[in-house]
Amino acid sequence: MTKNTIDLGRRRVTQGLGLLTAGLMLSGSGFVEMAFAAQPEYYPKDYASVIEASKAEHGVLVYSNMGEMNWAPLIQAFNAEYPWIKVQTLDLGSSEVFDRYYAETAAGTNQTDVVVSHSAASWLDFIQKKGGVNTDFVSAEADKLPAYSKPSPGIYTISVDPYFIVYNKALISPEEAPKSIQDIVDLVTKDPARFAHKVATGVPMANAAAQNLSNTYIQHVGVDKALQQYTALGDAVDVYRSAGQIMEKITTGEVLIGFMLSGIQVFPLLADPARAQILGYAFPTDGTVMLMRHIAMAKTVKNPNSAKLFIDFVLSAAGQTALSAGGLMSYRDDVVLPDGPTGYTYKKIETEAGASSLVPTTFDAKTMIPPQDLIDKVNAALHVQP
Amino acid sequence: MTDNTGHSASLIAAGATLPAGVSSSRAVRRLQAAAPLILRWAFALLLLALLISPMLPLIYQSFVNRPLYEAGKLLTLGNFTKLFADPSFQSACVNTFWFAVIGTIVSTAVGFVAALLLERLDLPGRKTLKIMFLAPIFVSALILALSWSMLYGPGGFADIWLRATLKFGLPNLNSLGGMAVLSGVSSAPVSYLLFASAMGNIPGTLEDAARAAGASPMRATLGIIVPLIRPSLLYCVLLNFVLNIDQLAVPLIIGGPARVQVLSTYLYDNGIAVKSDYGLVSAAAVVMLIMIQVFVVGQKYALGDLRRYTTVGGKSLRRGLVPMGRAGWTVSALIALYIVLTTLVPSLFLVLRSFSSFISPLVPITSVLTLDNFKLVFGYEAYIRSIINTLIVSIVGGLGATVLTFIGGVVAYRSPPAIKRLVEMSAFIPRAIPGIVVGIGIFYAAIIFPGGSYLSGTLAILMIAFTIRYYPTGFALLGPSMLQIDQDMERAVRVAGGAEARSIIAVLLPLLRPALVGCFLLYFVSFFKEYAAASFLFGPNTAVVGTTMLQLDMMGNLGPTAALSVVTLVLTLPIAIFVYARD
Repeated sequence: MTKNTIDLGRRRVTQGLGLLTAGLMLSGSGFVEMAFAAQPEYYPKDYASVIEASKAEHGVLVYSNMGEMNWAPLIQAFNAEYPWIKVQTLDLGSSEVFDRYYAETAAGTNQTDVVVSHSAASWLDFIQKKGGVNTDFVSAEADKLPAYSKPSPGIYTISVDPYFIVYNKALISPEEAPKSIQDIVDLVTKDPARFAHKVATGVPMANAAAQNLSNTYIQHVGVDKALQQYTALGDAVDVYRSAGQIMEKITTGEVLIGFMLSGIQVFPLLADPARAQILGYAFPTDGTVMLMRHIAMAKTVKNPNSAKLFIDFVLSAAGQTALSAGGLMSYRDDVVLPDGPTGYTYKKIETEAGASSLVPTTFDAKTMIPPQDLIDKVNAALHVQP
Repeated sequence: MTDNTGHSASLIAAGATLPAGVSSSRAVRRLQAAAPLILRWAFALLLLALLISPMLPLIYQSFVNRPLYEAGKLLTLGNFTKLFADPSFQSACVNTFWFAVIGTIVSTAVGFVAALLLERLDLPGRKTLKIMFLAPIFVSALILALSWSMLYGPGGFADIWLRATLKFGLPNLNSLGGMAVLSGVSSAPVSYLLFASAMGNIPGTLEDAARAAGASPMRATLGIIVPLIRPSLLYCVLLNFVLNIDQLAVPLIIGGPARVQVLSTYLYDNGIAVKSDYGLVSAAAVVMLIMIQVFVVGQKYALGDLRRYTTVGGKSLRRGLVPMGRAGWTVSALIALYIVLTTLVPSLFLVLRSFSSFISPLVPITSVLTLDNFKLVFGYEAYIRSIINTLIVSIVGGLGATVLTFIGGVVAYRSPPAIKRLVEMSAFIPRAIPGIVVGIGIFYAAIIFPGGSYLSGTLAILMIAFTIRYYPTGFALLGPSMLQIDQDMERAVRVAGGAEARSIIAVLLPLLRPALVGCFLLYFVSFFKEYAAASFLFGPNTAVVGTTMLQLDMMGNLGPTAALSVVTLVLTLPIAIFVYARD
C-alpha cells in the first residue's frame, strides 16, 4: 500500500511536466478556437466538433455530494470558457446520489449527465451491479492524470480530501501538539481526567464513506494497533455526525483535539485569520487518509458533448486550480497554489507529512467495507451504540 | 352525531316543495337526498388514497427482496426477520420508547401549563409572552439543537459559566434524558397550540359556576378545564408520542456524543446513509405504522362519547380572562424566565453566530463580527431561489392543506360514524412514517401511479408530500375544536331553510376561525422547516430552505446555517405576530 503510493507519486511528477508547455501552445484548426480559449495540443483533433455539438444541447445536470459554494468557482471558470453550457448541480448525500439515480432510472425520468461522490462502495455497486457508468467515455485529460485517480474505466477523480488532526492552540501547548493519532493516544493515556470527552471525531462507521475512510486507516496501521488506539481513546472521545459541530467546539475550547476531520470542511475555516490564531492542525504521520472524490459520466447522459467538456475541464489544470478556491483539494502536480490552508495540493501534503504518511482510498475490497466483526469492535472500543 | 345527514335527507324527503319544472320522480329525489352522503364518501376515500399513497409502495417494498425499481423481485418475509434479529433495532426501540415517553411528558406538561396560564389568566404582557413562547416553532429543530448543544452541553457556555460562579455544572445534555427534554421543549409550542384552541372554546361561565358553588380557583380549573380538555390532551399525547418517535434533528445532533441510537437515526443510518436498504426501512416503517394504529385505537376507546365535550353551544358567551392582580407579575416572570432560558438565549446565540465568523470565549467577540455569512447566503442564486421556493410552498401549500383539513374535519364530524372512523384513521396514517420515508414513498408513488411523472421535480410534489406529512398535526389541531362546536347552531340554519354549505359558512367557519388560523400557521412553519421529506423530492430548481440548511450544516460551517435560519426567523416571525396579535 505505502510502496504503491510512492511509486505513483513519482510517476505523477513526470506526467505533469509536459502539461504546462502544452497548455501554452495553440492548436489552430477552424474558427471555433478563435472565439474561445484554445484547447491543449494533446486534446483529440475533433474536439472542435464536440464544442460545436454542445451548443445544441441543454446544459449539464450534475448529481453530487458537494455544496453550492464548493462548485461556484469551478463552474464560473468553466462558464468563462463555455458560456452557453448551463451547469446545474444537485447536492445530495454520498450514497443518495446513486439511490436517486436508480429510482429515477426506473421511473424513466432520469436526466443525470454527471455523477460525483466519495462513497467508494456505492461506486462499485454503480459500476458492477447497475452498469451506471458510461465506460466509453475517455477524458481528453486521461493521460495527464495519476493512475491512482483512475480506479476503473470511465471513472476519474475530481478532488482528494485529506483527513487530519485539528486542535485548540490556546489550550494545547506547542510541545504537546499531536503529530499523529498515536500522539493523541499518548496524551489521553497520560492524563485521562484532562481529556475526558475532550477529543472528538466523526462517527467512524456511520456510512459507507466513513467506513471506507476508517477501514483504510485501520488496514494501514494494522487492525490490532488501530483497535488498541481506539480502546485507549475510549471514553475520551465523543463522536459527532458533522465536522461543523466539532470545529465549533474546538474553537470554543469545549473540545481540545479533533481527528479524522475532512479538508473540504476544515480548510475554509482555517483560512479565517482570527480562527487560525486558535486552531492548529497536523497531517498525522501514522496515516493521513486521502479520500478520493470520483466523477463519472452517467450512462443515462442526455447531453454527452456538454458533459464531456465539463468533465475534461474539471480534470484540467485550469479546472483543478479553480476548484481549490471552492475548498476542494487538487491532486494534479502541475497545479501551483499560494501557501495557506486553501492552497494545499496532494503534492504539498506529501512534502509536509512525508509520502509514507499518505493513504489514498482505493476500490480494493479489503479497505472498502469492513467486516461486521471489525465494525462491532471499533464501535465497542469507542462505546458507540451501533 | 349520526343524524345530521339522515336529518337533512328527511327534511328534503318530508316534502320540501321542489321548484316547478324539476322532475319529481322518486329516483331523482332519492339521488338528490343521497348526494351529500356520496360526496362525503368520495372525499373520505380520496383522502385515504392520498394519505396512504406513500405507504402502498413501502408496504409492497417491505415484502419483497429487492428495491422496487429492480426486476426479478420475490415475495419474502426476510426484511422483517432481519429487522427483528438486529440487536441495534432492539436497543433503538427501547431507547425510542423512553425518549418518546419523557419527551411527551415534558412537551404536554409545559404546553398545558403555558396554555392554561396564557389563555385563561389576565397576565401582564400576555400577548408578548405568548408569541415568545411559540417562537421555537419558527426555528428549525436542527438549529435549536445546535444552539442548545453549544450553550447547555457539557463544557458549553452556560456550563462553564455556572461552574465558574456557582461551582456546579448542568446535568449532562448529552444523554437520553437530555435529548428527550430538548425534544419535549422544542415541541411544547405544538402542544400549546393544541390546548390553546381547545381552551379558547371553553366558556368562562362554567368556571364561574364552579366558583359560585364555592370551589377554589385551582379546584375550578382542575374540575372544569382538565376534564373538558381531555380530547385535546389525548390528541396531544398521541401527537407528541409520534412526533418524538419521528424526531430526527435532536438525535442527529446530540445522539452522537450521547451515544444513543433511536429509531429515526437507525432508519437514517441503515436505510439512507449506510446502505440504502429499502427493504429494511420499509419493514421498520410498517412496524411503526402498526404500533401507531394500535395507539390510535387505544385513544379512541379512552375518549368514548365525544358529545360530552361540546361546550360552544348557542347560549355560551365568549370567554373572559381571569383577573390576576399582583400575582400575575410573578406568573409572568416565571414564564418569561422559562422563555429566556429555552428560547431567547439560544435564539440570540444563533443571531450572534450568524453575524460572526465564530464564537469562542478565547477570542473577544468584537474581533470576529462579520457579514460574510449573509453575503454567502445571498451571494448564490441557488440559495435565494430556495428561499423563494420555500415561501411559495409554505403559503400556497399551507393554504391548500388548511382547506383540505377543514373539509376533512367537516366530513369527519358532521357525518355518519363509518365515515368519521375512516377519516380519523386515515388522518393519522402519515404520522407513522418518518419524514424521509414519506419522501421516498411519494417518489415511488409518483412513479407507480399514472400522471405522477408530471409532478416529479415540481414544487407541487413537495406541497403534496408536506401536506401528507403534516396532515395528522393539522387534523389534531382542528379536530377537537370542531368537536366542541354544538351542531344545534348549524341545524338552526338548516331549519331556517339554509343549505348545508350555508350552515358551514355561516356558523362553522367563523367559530373555527382561531383554530383555522392556528392550523394554517402550523402548516406554514412546518412546511418552512421541513427537510426530511424534501430530501428525496427536490430537483435542481426546487430546493427548499430545509434541504439547503441541512447541506450547509453537513458541509461543516455553522455560520451560513445560522444566517439562513435567521433569514427564516425574519420571514416567519412577522406572520406569526400578525396572526396572534389579532387574536
